[in-house]
Amino acid sequence: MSELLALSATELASRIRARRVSASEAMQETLAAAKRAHARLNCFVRIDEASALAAARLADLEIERGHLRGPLAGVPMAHKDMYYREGVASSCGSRITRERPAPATATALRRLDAAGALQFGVLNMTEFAYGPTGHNYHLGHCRNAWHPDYLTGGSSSGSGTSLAARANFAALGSDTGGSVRLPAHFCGVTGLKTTTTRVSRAGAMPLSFSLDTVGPLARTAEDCALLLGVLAGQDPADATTSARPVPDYVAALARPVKGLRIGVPKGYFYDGIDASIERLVRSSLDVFRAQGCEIVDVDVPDIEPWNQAATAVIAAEAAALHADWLRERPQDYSDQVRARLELGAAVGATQYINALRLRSHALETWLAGVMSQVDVVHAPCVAFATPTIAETDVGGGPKMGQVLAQVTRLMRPVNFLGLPSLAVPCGFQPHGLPCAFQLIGRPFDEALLLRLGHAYQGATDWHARLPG
Amino acid sequence: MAVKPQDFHTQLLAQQGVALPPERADALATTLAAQLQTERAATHALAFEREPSAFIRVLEGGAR
Repeated sequence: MSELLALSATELASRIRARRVSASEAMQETLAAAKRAHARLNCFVRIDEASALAAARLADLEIERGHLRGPLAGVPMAHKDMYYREGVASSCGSRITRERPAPATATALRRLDAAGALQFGVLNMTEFAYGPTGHNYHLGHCRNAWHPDYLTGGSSSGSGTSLAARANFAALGSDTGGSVRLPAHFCGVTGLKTTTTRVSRAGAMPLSFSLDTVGPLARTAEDCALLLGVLAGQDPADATTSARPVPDYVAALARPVKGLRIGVPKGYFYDGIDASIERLVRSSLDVFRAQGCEIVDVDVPDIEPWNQAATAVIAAEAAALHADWLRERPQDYSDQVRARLELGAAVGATQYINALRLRSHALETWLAGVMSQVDVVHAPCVAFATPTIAETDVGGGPKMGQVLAQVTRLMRPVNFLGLPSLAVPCGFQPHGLPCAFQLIGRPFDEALLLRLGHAYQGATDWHARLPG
Repeated sequence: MAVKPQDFHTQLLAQQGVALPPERADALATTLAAQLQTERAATHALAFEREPSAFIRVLEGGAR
């Protein structure tokens, strides 16, 4: 692998700014890597070679003339195929929307464009982002860069594995029930689930309007900080976005982490955990301890009802959005997504509303209890060793509920609470597949999570390891 | 006459124009019943006045 492809997005942007590397050179190498990775991993839905090379040449001309569009000028990126670009169809991982041109460009893409990022393709994903494993029965299953027989995690499957394969410099994902953090864990990259309302969802395919969040996957926490600074902030096109000012996430990385209190949950997150995962996740605490952080055991409330409530909210909202297609084109859904939408169509109105009523109470409980004792909570992302694609190929059959619940169990409560969470690689399981921990913060405390993630990555090299 | 939950859900979906495959009716009924039971236990003591929009207020107020 070339030195250029091993750079982080931040490092590449810096070299392009300094004219040590041209945008065209970066794009040519990325396109070649993307084609190689796709042949092995089925991670791209489309690679737009000609337009990407033209955009890179234009970027080089601008930079030669002293005009720098923004902090991501010239950096090649491909995104989960659910961020709309005007006039272009997004597959959303489905058979249904692949010929449906988008009416407008997603705010997230517009902001990345304005910052100078160059989109060169779109990435495989779980059908309609409704699945945590990375299986896709229409586009073909996405495969893990560390071993193609193993799970990538989903729904941002292509985002995770293209980054792990060093065939992409950063990618948009979306996280409704773990869809950024799961691929980050399974593929060994860094992924940020943002606070609900922090990043505009305008022009992003909806799954559950109460729980959907937009966030980046990247090679480092520093890259996530760079991207979040571009993506975050109020948007007139998404009335739910917070008016809260956007901090300088990159500048905040430099602050020391000494004295920060990191909470380790006593229950739930470690219940029934695989011994090798537990060892890796707990070992990562030593790195924070060595940097002067205080590690504190914390009791957590009964989280399972929040998990169940999140499941009901996603199911009901997704079923409402898909009602017409479910009625008119049921054969165009995979069995698994169709089964989950059917379940959502049977969720009662009072059940759905009570699940939403529970949300503020749950967040108050979490903030007053857990977060009054610590600055962040440190926890595993999943509790089991990474399985193969075949082992988890349950479709819409009788094992579906159990398998999907197991994968999302440590993710969904965080979505229900609306909190930010950063997944950070922390080593490798005995069979060679990566592992990550997640840092869960207070609302809008992404800067602190990124600072801790950056400090961890400054002391370790798990995030820099390359698949063989 | 009592309707079995499986049949109830099949009819409920049919009214929405959705044909529930018979082999999925049992699993759907079981999953929903479990969800409802957990949710009832968690929400039975919620304040009468609590409404969904309170969430954003708590989220914004919960920042440092």
